[in-house]
Amino acid sequence: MGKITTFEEAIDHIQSGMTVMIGGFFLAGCPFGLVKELTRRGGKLENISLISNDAASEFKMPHAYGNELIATGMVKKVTCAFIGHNHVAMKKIADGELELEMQPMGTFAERIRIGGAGIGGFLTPTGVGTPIAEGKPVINVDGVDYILEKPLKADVALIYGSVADENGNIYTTGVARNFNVDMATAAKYTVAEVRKIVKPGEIDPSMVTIPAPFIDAIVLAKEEDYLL
Amino acid sequence: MISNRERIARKVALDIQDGEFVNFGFGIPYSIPPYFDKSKKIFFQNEPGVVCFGTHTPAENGYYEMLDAANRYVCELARGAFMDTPTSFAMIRGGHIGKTVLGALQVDSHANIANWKTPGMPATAIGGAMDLCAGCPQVLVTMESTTKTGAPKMVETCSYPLTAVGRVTMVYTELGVFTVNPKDGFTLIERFPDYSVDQILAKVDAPVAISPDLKIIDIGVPLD
Repeated sequence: MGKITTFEEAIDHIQSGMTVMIGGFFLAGCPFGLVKELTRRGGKLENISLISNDAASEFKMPHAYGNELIATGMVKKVTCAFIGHNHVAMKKIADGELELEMQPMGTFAERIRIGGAGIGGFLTPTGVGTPIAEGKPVINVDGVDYILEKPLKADVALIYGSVADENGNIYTTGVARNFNVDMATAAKYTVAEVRKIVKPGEIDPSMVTIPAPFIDAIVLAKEEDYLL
Repeated sequence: MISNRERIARKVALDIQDGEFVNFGFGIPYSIPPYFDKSKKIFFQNEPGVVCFGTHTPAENGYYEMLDAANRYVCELARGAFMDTPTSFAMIRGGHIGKTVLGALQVDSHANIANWKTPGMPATAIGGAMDLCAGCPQVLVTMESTTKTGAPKMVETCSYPLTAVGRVTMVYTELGVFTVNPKDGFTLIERFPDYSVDQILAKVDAPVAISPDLKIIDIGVPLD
């Protein structure tokens, strides 16, 4: 009913050439089931631009979802702050098969936040005087140099939540909030993979971490996807 | 005999004061917390979005919502706070975390740091280091004084791609502790007893002033 859907239907919204955000910080708050379903579309999708903090790194995960996703060849570009654990991606970058945009993590996070907030850019002191500033406008405000960084947006965001109500209000515990909250705002179509779905009102409105207007679809996680 | 990395970690643990909010980076910094005196209350800030007080434990199967950037459980939740990552970096970039402890490939006389990329190799991570350097009032670098091949890591001008310009405030190595700022360069303020000043100067490829108040470090455990 309503926003609750299946992994298959949710991932059907992703088409070749689209930009896709994937939430999570290593294991914390990564929507493993959605990444798995996207990986199954290997061979059918191409030219996907991936925006993900650590390129959905496996980081000691035997499932190695991030590696498998990159190995399908559907991803043409990764925008991230960390990729060292994704050895498949590292090899493809070295071979010239994958484009990499490496970002300072705070810049990466804020670009997503402003992407969802309707803001056209932000000025950050991070990276002034380093290779990160190359090719970007540097603007002096009251004697301090800042780099102009532009927003990041996506066609589809795949995010994680702890509990959703049927209307799409989401509560997420702990470190799992990470990029999921802001990626939900920065995409045209946002799917949340959650561990539990409850009736509206069962989440205390004061505890909602992602309000319903940011969520387009909800899928219920399979617990086996979260076992080492 | 304790390792260079352990003596550096123990020295930083001694110097961080009760009540400080600190972000610890990868490498030597992650090994520091076990050496804190139990009477001190140190608040850990971690990039994904957590400020906490207490100990870390290894990950358990199937429950990943409380893992920090190093895949460790963050505990003592009643005295901590979780936030989303943009808020976490507002805390970092905005100067609300007083101190960061980072590893480095090179630090130079201009208080510049290089720690994310070696020339000619693809970058594997920037992580939070650039934001931490830009925002934290105190940037402590922990590193061994030379590379595996013996090249000094404290230099006059970094040859590796920079992480931040003019932001490092202190350098901790197995030789001793140095202050650094763009105006004065390096000053040796404390030395480990098993290195003479001359031995220390021989391992730094930059001018080093010697503090008139140079102290001998005692980390409370035998060095050999």
